[in-house]
Amino acid sequence: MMTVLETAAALRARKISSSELVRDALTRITALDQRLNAFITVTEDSARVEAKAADNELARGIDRGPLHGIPVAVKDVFWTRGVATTAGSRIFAEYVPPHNAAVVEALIEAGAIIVGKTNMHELAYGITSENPHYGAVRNPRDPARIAGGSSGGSGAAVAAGIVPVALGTDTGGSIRIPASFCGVVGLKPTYGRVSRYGMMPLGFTLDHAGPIADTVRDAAIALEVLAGYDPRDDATCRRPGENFVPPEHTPMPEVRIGLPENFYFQRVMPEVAQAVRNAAAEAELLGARVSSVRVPDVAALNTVARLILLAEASALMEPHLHKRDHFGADVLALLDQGRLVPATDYVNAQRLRRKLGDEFRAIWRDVDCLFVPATPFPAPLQGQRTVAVDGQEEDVRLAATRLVRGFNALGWPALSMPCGFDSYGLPYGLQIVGPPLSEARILRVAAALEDRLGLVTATRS
Amino acid sequence: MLKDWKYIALAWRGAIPESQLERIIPVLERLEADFRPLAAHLSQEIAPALVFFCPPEERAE
Repeated sequence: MMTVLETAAALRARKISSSELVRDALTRITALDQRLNAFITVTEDSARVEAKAADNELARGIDRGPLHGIPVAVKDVFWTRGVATTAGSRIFAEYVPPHNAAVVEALIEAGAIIVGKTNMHELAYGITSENPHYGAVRNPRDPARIAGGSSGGSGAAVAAGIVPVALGTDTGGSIRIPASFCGVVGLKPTYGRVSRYGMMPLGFTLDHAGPIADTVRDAAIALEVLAGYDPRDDATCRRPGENFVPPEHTPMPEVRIGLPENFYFQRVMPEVAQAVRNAAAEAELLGARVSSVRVPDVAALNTVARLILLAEASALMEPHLHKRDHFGADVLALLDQGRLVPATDYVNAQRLRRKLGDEFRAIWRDVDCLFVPATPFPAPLQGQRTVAVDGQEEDVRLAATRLVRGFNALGWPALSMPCGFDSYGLPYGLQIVGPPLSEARILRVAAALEDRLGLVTATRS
Repeated sequence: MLKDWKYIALAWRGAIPESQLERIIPVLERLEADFRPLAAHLSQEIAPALVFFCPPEERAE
C-alpha cells in the first residue's frame, strides 16, 4: 500500500483515481473481512458515489488536500448521518444518527471517502474487541490473536491494508493497544485537541478521538484534518491549526528523551523492553539526548483512572441497565461495578487526578518526551484471559492497559508505533508521550525514527 | 475496613443479581484496597479535576 502522500500525488498525476482506490478497498474488504471481521457496516454504495465526486472535483481543479479521494474507515462509535452507529452494542444496534460526528464532518470536508464503520469492543469498554454481538475482530498478523481494542476493527483494517487511515477512540488505551497489537501507528491526541461531538461517550473526562494509520505521516495528515476548536465540545482548545506533518526525511529534532527507570519497564516482556530501549538508542544515534527519568506513582494514576471510568460509564449506561441480556458478560460486570462506586470515591478520584497531574508535570522539566512500551507483550490469543509476564500471572485486560491508561487521566498526547517484531512476526509497540499539545514534536520524533527503523507496518497478504 | 460491597449491591434491590456478585466484588475489593490509602491523605484545597486538560490559555472561552 502506498502512503497517503504517495497516493495523493498519484491521484493528482491521474495515475490512479479515487474510484479505483475505493474499488480496491472494497475488494479487500470482500476478500479479507470474513476472516478479520473488522467492519460492522460497509458503506459501499455511498463510497462509490463519493469517490466519483472526488474524481470529478480533482479533474476540475478543486483540491481539498491530501485526504481528497482517499478511502478511510470510521469506528462504529462515531455518528454517521443516515448510517447505523452501534457502538458495538445491542443497545444501539438500530440507532441511526441524524448528524455526523465532528470528526466525520472533518474527514468529509477534507474529501476522504468513508468505506465503512469498524467493529470494536462493545461500547468501547474493553481491549479485546471480542464482541458478543458482532463477532470478534481478528488480528491480520495472526487471526488466532486479538486485534486489541477497543478500536480493534480500525487497527485491523489499517494493518490489513484495506485503508491507510481509520478513526479510533481512546478512553484507557483503545487507540494505542490495537495499534501496538496490529503493528500500525495510533495517536491519542491531547485531551481537547480533537472534538468529540457525535462520538458516543464512555468516560466523559477520559474520552479522546484520534487516528490509526499505516505510517506516522499518515497519522499526522489525519490529525491535521481532525484537530481544532469546536463549540459543540467544550473541552476543545482554541489553539489554531498546526502543521503536524513531518517533512520527508525529517531529521530527529533536538529533543530530550526520557526512559523511565521505574514502572514502565517492570512486568514487561524482556523482548518488548529491549525493542523500546533499542528505539531510544536509534534516536540517540540520530541526535536525540536520552536519559533516565523517574516517574511519579503510575499505579496510583491507573487506580484513579479505573475508578473514574467505572463511575462515568455506569452513569451513562444506567438508563439501559435493566436490559441485562443486551450486554456482554465482561461489559455488564464493569457496569455493575461502576453502579456501586460511591459519589465520594468518584469525587476523591478526580481530586487525586489533579494532585497526580501536578506531580507528573514535573517530568517535563528534564525531558521533552518519554519512550515507554505501549503494551507489555504482543497480541494475546483470542479467548486468552490471563498472561504471564516475569513469572506473574495477570488479567490480560489489566495488563494490556497498565502502560497506557494513565495518559488518559493526564490528558497527554501519546503515540504508539511498531518498534520490532517477535519470531512469529507479532509487533511490539513503542509509545512516545509528550506534554499537552506537543503532538507536532512527537510526530517529528516518530517520523525520524520510522525512517530510521524502516519497518514495513502494513500486512500485505 | 473495606466496604461491604455485597451489602451495597443488595441495597439495589435485585438490580444486580446475586449471581453476579461473585464476579464483581473481588474486583471492587482490590480496587478499593488500592484506592483508599491514596484518598486518605488528600488535603482540603485540592478540588476535583473535572475539565482541566488544555493549558488555561488554550481553553475555549
